[in-house]
Amino acid sequence: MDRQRTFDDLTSQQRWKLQALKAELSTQPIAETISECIRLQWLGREDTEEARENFRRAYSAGRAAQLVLSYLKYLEDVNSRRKQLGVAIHEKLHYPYPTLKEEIEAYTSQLISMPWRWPAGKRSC
Amino acid sequence: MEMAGRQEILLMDFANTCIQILGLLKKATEGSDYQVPQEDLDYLDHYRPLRDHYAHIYNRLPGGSNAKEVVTEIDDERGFQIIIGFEIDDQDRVVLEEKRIEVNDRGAERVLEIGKRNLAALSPSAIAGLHQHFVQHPDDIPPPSAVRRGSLTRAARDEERGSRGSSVES
Repeated sequence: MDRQRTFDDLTSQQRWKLQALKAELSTQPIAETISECIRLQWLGREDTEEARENFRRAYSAGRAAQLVLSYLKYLEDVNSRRKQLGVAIHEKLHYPYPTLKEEIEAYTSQLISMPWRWPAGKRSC
Repeated sequence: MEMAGRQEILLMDFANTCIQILGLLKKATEGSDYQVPQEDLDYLDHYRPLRDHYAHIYNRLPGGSNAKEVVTEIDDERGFQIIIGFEIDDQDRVVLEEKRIEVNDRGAERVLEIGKRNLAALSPSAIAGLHQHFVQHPDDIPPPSAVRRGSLTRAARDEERGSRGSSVES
């Protein structure tokens, strides 16, 4: 059985070339590093179905990593909104508004003119 | 009621986001030999019952095929009553059919840690795969200039517009 080649078996020029390639890749964003690492292995090789399958795998993995980053940011946002709404619900339960007849008109007109903003309730100081 | 409904939508969004991260992390590892630890996969997957619950909420309403998950019917001397909703335990976890789901700060922090740690491990693993390949095929090592920047996302060219929102090059 043939012995597997190791890094030490490469010529100094090949070693330099490989290190330079890796250094360049490590400056890329994670998602692009993943896809480029696969793409470069198939660069210049014959256009076969296997090569195409690997290009698909390269971009699929890279795009998935990119989306993980986006979903992580989104999770932070969702959790923050969840907490804000929890506080608003807590306040509404503890400091109900409107409670007086004269407050009702102000409350409904604010709700109709700015339905996306919940009218501020009374708060204890 | 309106605020409670919005809160439920946010719970669904939270659980759904965690399940999306699970699927995408697994897909991202297909670019290297790296394996996401099973403990991390299990943790992300523990959000699935809540995601499934909201994805098919119409089946969880009174009379629905899965109503028993969150609908309680009481028939006593006061009459027939229907109660809808799930319990939140003292650790701020959603309790759904005996499963405790961390839709809370602790859960968010853990999912963020899992995501960031695994993403950080993917890059060295992909580079190690490339290293192994070119050690075996040293004559094929491309120059650093062969590395494309921005290859995953770029603006579509005129002739591509209308066909894809974003595009990649092979």
